[in-house]
Amino acid sequence: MIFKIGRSKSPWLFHLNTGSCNGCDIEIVALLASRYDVERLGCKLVGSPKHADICLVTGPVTARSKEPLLRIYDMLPNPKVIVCIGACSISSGVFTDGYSIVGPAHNLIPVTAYVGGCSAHPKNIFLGLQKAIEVFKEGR
Amino acid sequence: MLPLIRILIENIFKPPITEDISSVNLPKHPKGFHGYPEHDPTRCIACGICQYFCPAKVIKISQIDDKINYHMDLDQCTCCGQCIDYCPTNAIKHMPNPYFVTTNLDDFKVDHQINLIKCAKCDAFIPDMTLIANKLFGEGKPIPKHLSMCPKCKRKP
Repeated sequence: MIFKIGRSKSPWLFHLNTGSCNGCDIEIVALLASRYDVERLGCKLVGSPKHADICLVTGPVTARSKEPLLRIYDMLPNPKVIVCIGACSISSGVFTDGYSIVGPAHNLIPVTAYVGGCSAHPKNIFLGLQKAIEVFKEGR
Repeated sequence: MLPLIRILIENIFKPPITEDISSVNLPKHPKGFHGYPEHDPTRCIACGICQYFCPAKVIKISQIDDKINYHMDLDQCTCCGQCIDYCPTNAIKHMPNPYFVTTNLDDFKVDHQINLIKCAKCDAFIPDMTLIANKLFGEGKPIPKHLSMCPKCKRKP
């Protein structure tokens, strides 16, 4: 019960880059910076997936980053909530059928919310976080 | 040193630059903003120029009997605006906002049906060229014969 309230009031974020071009990563930093400050709402960027409630995935999954993605997914505490950010993360985008692309993230792990755009607007990422928080409130 | 003190004192009376993003009503974006493409099937003539210029292979056009299926995978779209720049009839426009969040991937798929007309000489189906004729010869003028025929009939003497 306490975990449920805590997660929905102040979800901690873990940022995972699986071969992104850094565009979406910059937008996540913009979300945490002064203009769209989400730290005032309790969202905090943490360094370890074991401390995190929401995992933000950016970029198409490359052959090199497939293994770390699956390892980090195992490390996340339950309920495992993944938010895919940007066109690359949703469907490989312009990198579709590339020689080093294993596939979009939803082929390998279950994904909760998809945030569109190339790159995604900070407010758009915030709406994605709201969808993820709804999962905590339902207690799935 | 003095200008710095002036800026410090000014900043005390300024409102914070942090925007209120907890509100539900998100603002629309300015004119010319590169949002997702919005397709209008009534203006489309299925020429395929958008499919040719799309760098992410978002647009797929295929013919099913007397209709053309216009398919867009918006999840791959990078909002570059190439399809909008090259469209001869302005059938595609930018959406005025960047917000697109779903929990289901099927929401990104767009399917539109474009009606075809019959060729003036044979039974083949061709797209309606009225909009192109209006653009070339002015509105209200009669449509020339070569625009109302299929490519096979055009080559015949």
